[in-house]
Amino acid sequence: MSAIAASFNARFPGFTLLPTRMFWAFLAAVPVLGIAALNTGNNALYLFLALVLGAFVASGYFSRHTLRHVRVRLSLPGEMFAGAPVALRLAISNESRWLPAAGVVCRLVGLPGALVAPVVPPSGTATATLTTVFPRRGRVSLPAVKVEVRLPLAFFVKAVRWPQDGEALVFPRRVRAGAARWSALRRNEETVLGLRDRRGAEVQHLREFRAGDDRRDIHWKQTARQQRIIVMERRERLHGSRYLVLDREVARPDDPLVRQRFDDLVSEVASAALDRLHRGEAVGLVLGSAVTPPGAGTAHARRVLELLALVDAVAPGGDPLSSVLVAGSVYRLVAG
Amino acid sequence: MATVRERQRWLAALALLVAAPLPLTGIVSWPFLLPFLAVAIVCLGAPRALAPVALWLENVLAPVIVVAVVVAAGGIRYGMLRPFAQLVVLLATVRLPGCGLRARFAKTAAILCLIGVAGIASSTHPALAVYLLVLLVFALIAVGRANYLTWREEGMRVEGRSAWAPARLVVGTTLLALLVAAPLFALLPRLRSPFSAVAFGARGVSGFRDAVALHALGEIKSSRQVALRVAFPDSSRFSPEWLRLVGTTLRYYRAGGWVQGRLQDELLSGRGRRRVALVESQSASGLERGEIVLEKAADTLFVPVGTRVLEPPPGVPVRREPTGGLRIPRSTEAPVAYAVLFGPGIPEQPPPTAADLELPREVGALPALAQSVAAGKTNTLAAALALEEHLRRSYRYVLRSYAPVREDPVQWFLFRAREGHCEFFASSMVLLLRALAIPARLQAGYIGGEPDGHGAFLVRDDNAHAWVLAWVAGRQTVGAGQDRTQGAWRVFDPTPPEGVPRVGGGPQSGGLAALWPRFEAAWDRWILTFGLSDQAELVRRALEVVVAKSVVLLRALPAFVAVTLCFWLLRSSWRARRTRQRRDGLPPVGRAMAAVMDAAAGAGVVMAAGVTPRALLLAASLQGQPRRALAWLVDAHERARYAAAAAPERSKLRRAVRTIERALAAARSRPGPSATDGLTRRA
Repeated sequence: MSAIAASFNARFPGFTLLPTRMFWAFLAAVPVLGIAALNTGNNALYLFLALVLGAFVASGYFSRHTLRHVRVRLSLPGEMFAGAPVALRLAISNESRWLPAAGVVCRLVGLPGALVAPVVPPSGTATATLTTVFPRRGRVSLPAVKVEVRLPLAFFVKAVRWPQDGEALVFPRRVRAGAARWSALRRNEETVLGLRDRRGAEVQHLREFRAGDDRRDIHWKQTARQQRIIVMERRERLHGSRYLVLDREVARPDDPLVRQRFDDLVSEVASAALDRLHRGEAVGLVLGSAVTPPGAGTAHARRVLELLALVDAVAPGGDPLSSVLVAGSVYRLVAG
Repeated sequence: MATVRERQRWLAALALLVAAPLPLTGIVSWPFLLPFLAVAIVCLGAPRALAPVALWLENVLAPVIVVAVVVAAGGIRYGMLRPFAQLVVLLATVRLPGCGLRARFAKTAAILCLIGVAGIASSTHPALAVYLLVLLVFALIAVGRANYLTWREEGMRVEGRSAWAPARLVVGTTLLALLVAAPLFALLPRLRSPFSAVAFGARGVSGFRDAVALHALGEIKSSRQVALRVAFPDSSRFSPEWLRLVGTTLRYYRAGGWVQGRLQDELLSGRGRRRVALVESQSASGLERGEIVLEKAADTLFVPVGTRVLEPPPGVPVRREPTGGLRIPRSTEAPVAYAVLFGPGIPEQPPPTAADLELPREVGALPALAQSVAAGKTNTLAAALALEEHLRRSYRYVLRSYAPVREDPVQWFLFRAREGHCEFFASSMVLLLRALAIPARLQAGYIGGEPDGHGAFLVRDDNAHAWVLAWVAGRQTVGAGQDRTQGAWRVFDPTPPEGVPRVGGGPQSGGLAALWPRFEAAWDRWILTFGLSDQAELVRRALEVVVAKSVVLLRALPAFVAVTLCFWLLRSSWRARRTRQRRDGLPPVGRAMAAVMDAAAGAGVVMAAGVTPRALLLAASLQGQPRRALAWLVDAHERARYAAAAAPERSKLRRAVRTIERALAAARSRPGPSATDGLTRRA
């Protein structure tokens, strides 16, 4: 029996069967029809009853056939923010060779968002966009997709759950950020952290390649034009040494309310960082002992958001932040 | 609002569909049906959703509907089905406006379904099979559309434009439903319930009735249900008159109807007797033999006019009424088979009595009419023939007649309506004969039939008829009364020829025209009259086949097991292969494209990572059919991969791959430029 159950579960993972109003009407009508046919001996009623039962069986068979041959695959967009609508890409494929899958409803398990694919052709794939909202930031497993089928005669809503492999990183919620609270590191701290010896961004002049030059500085157009290797000599860009500093210490990290407030704080930091980065300003981030030097651009923004998506609150004394900070504003959860 | 309107249209279409059989079966009268049809058509064609009828108006209409059904439509006098159908039709008429609203949709649909069931239950025509199929297809399409509307109303995102159930799904479901329904129909138990509707006084709308009530029936409907199957072994002398089958003979005309009077039945046969003489001191020589099967449950044995000997149905007690009617218990399960010996055309009836001259108290102008018609006729036979001819010529035959309750229906027929059905004609002639002091009785039964193609005649409900027995003689003067010494019973049929059922042509020998009667015959035999005995017969035959072929079956068993095992193994391996392919993630068209790329690589072409199928197509110097095949394959691959189109059929893919592979192999073996010279050749 267990083998049969396992086989069934492999074909129909998380199978559920929900009767519809049509089924209850059918359940009420069939005995009445049966009694009427039996009572009167009317063969027209027998014929109708047989056809109704036949339609019930046929509907069950075809809905099962559809459910068995439908597969779904979920694809994620590049970035997802908590609390904001996210358009997920859903590929619904029908593996049946001759029967179109009709009226396929796909829902995300545990998340809002549903869509209907009226028809998926045999051996074909329909792609659709499914809009949902992730409630919290952090790393989340991809939600399973619940596939529902009720046609052809909608006696039952038959559903399976197709789990989706993989994880998604949900960035903090975007909020309307006010004035950013900037902090600065001590100069010696920046030196210790190696933040001052970095490759500059401003091109000062071009010269011929010398041994030891960074190959990333080769100016390929000039090299091609002059038929010798030309490099760009860069001047170190003076960073504003502007950091967003988040104090991870909270009084009671296990308290859901505190965690919620901490999440709000993280959202504020992330929103402030994004605002500045979108304006082209360099932003650094300090989270405990992890210091992300100021930078700009898409890759930097993504790095900052990833760090903020994964940051957790710690108990008092768990964050070495205070030893690093110079005077300035810190994003800190006020106790109380 | 568009959703509400569309729902309204679907229900209106359903209303028209369920109304289709109602005029043909006659369970709903036109005054009830016409408003229903009108409202349905308005709902179907209205450019916007109609508002529901106001609640106060519904409350006012409710008692009106009940009164209309009970009073105007006759209540349960004609059975339960008719008033039920009238009631639900009127209810649906009120409910249809506003039916598109979600709150009213399900209830209105349920009412319409009830109408549909009533229509189906009263249908006997073979077209019922087509009608049921149409209903199923309609239901499949409508449910698909209703689901779409519900999703749209719930604000769900619907991808794609098509929102109809796919044709393949509809056809597949219909076919499978039929396949399942056929054995189910044969296997559903045909048992009679003790809670029969007969207890409520229900009777068939059409067909034979043992108590003719002219007020009671407004309209006779043609039911094609088979009532009897009659065979005459010596059919060489067959005359259509042999198919005049008497069910009952009525003498008492009371309040617009004919009744039996006080019944003093005589037990004619117990459960053991094999042959009973119905008429004393008559020899059986010169008599014809008729074999009759009662296909429909009834309490009357129908026998040809002039029946003298009865071979009663085995195990069924038969009682004889004073007027010769043969009765069996109503609970007798059909079919009931019996046989008779009869002298054609010679009615066997007890001699006339004073009851055969009784007239209603208010006869009005009836005697005057009888006298005027029979003026100058000196004998009773001539007078009866004159009356018969007068009624045939001067009155019109119609199936529909509504005799006013407060008026005598015979006088209403003779002097006001001048049209009616066979019962009116026969009743009028009986009373006109009695007005001339000629004893007369009314007989009801069946007449005519149609050959079933196997030497027997099918007698259906619509062969029901009424006619007249009169005590006449050529030498008997008019006014002699019930003189037993002169005269004899003779059959008269005053109904115009168009109202008298005939002996039909029967199945034809060939051609398309023969198909319908054959289908009709098969319908009658295997659908309408299919019963418990047929089920038992089916089981018996199946068992016989099993027993007869048991040796063969036992021998074939190992082969069967082996074939089944092979089939199972092949199926398992095919499934496993399919699963592997599915895991590989390549659809069939992708696999076909990969096979072609492999073949190209085998032909000496180095496939760089960036070479796409389109590049292969552009570079390949294949010509003719292989090139077209490659172009088709690349297109199909791109459509399936990037445009989510349906994959082409596997057979087409296989043919294309085979064509391209052959061309590539031929190019490899041929010296000179390769088929894929445009791409880099392997070093």
